[in-house]
Amino acid sequence: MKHARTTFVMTAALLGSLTTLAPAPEADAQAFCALRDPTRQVYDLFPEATSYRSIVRSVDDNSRNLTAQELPFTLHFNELGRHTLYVALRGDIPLGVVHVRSEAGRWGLVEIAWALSLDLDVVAFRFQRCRDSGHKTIESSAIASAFKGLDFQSLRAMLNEDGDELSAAAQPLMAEQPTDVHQLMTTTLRSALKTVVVTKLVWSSDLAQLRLIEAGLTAFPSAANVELIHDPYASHGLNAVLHGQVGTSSGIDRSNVVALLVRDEHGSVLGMKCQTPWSAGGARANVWWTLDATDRTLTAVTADTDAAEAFGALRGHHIADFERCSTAVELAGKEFMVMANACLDAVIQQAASVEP
Amino acid sequence: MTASPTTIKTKPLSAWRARATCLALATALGLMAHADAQPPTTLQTTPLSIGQLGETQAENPADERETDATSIHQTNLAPSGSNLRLTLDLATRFTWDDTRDEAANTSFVGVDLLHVFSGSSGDRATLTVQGFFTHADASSVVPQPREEAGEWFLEYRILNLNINLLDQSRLNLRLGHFELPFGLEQNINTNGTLRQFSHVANLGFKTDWGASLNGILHGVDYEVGLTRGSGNEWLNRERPWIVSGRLGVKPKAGLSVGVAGFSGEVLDINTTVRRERLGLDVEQELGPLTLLGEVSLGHDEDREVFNTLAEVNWRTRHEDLLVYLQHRFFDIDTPNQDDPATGFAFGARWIASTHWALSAAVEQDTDQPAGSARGRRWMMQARYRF
Repeated sequence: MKHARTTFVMTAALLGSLTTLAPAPEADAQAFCALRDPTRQVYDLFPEATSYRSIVRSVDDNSRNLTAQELPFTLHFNELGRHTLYVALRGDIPLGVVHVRSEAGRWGLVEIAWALSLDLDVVAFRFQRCRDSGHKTIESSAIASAFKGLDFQSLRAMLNEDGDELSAAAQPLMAEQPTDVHQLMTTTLRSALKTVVVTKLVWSSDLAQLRLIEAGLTAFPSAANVELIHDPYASHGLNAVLHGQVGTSSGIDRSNVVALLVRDEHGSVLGMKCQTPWSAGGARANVWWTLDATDRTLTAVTADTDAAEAFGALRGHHIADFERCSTAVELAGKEFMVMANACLDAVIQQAASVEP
Repeated sequence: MTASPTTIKTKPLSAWRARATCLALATALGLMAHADAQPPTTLQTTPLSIGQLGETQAENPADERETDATSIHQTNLAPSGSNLRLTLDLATRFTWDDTRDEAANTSFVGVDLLHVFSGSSGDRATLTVQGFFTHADASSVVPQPREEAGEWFLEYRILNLNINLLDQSRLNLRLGHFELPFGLEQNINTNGTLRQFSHVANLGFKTDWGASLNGILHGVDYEVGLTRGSGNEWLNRERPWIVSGRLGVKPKAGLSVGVAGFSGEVLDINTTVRRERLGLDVEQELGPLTLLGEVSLGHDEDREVFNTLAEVNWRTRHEDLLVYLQHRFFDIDTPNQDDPATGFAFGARWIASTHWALSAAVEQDTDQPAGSARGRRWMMQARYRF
């Protein structure tokens, strides 16, 4: 008995002293073997998914402080620690991400699995744990479908300034619903906002890479590998060529062009997928170009603004079709084609130089 | 002013500019042709792969600001940029049997590790390691299954690799040391806590060495394992073995139901015991309360066994405080007596901070088989994870 008490006191003293030596802001009170991946939710939220990829990162004090800058509320200290973002995959193609966050509900923690697009718009959600029966109402098709496609600003607009009550924008969804459903809806929106902000803060580099992989792998049916070209304007003489052809600027922001080289499973180059910020005459757009390596034609051109139609009309164009440019959009097309063809030529030359 | 698409599409270039453009294009084509004669451009590229995600340190404002002493990367034991969770886990447990006026202390110092191995096609396997140096007083108050009682020894609560074999988690293969798939423990992990379900009392032990197939098929969680039958340690004597499995469904939110089976030659002190069980477990959430129950029946050799456990628990809205009350019933049919072992357990767990979890419980025997004394055990545990 005496020995047991002595050991107990000594161990307690050891534990106490360690608390002063380890000021770690994060810890998981729960053993890791108790962690259950939201396997069921991932495939429920992304029915097309064939697998998922976990990315574990630290949500820490800094994440908490930055969240407080974007929202009128922030993470509870118990929410800090190592957390997982689940990337839903169809084959190798990322479909979106799933992140689970907890909010204190009326009867305990409410865990919601959020499915987000790679641009962090809401795709869908599921209550993973919720002791409040109101979750059935919120998961009902009418309310759940209203969440689909919402971005951060739209979600934020559904809460009041302090973020603790629903705003007028959310009232139409809550018509004739009891108070407890209003409370759970507020909890749900707070969870969504925190999920979007934390995912953006902590997994930003992963999301950026995922968007590029998705863009590259969906550009060609047999795409299997995507490579990021570090400096697509590095080809010998390219800048001089462009200067001669399009002058000082075609409207493309060359310092922010993202160029991807897409190959099939055998390593053969299928083509290029590029994103070019563009502006001209007061118009702005992020333009995605897809160039087929075989016949060097544009197989797709999309833009995210009202210039989409003008850029879309360039589909099917070859470099020779830009000989006479009559619009600013065509001039941008010419620059892209010159640059992309130079990259493809360089890749072909490189491949030829290493062949025996 | 923002230009409309029409404006953009129809905006003409001036005649001189059009001519200059054509001239430039012609020149450019010529230059491009000459470019062939120049040394080839070395295009620098970086492969982008799902498999590489998370391998680099996140480049985001949160990480850039990690300069103070509380930086997560200085204190978290897991290397940054890996799918690893690693925590040191220290605990001390004090047990006092007031009917025998005996006390004992058990201490645990170990690591808790979880690592997800991923490739370009997604997660491939998950490694879970819970290895603990354990010290238990040489006392009859706490179980003494080992020769090292009174000494520090290493034990693995969990040590297994779960390998994904089929898409959508339909089939995984688990290898190593894991919990027997049976009863409430499959959904609620009680390793290292005072709160326990009836694995040990009913089946002999909670974990075993072996392999299992597990996954989700048509909304049903399943796990079927073939294990050594020797418990915490792999022992070769007496040739024990166990086949156990559980099917679990969640027919609606807040309700979980499982059916389980267990069959094997389970290693006892000097021999093996032929043990068979069929079990049913249910969990139902009701506001802040949770009702839990598991019931099983079967045989130990030719003796019938009936076991039940019922629990009601309550938690705060932040779930930092959990209070539970359990009733335990275990009846084994023996020739000389038919008294079951029954008792209550009342306990609480308070997560005092992100590091500390403090627990206390009292177990009161209300009935014991003939020849056994009714006992009452008080337990306290302090657990620190960092």
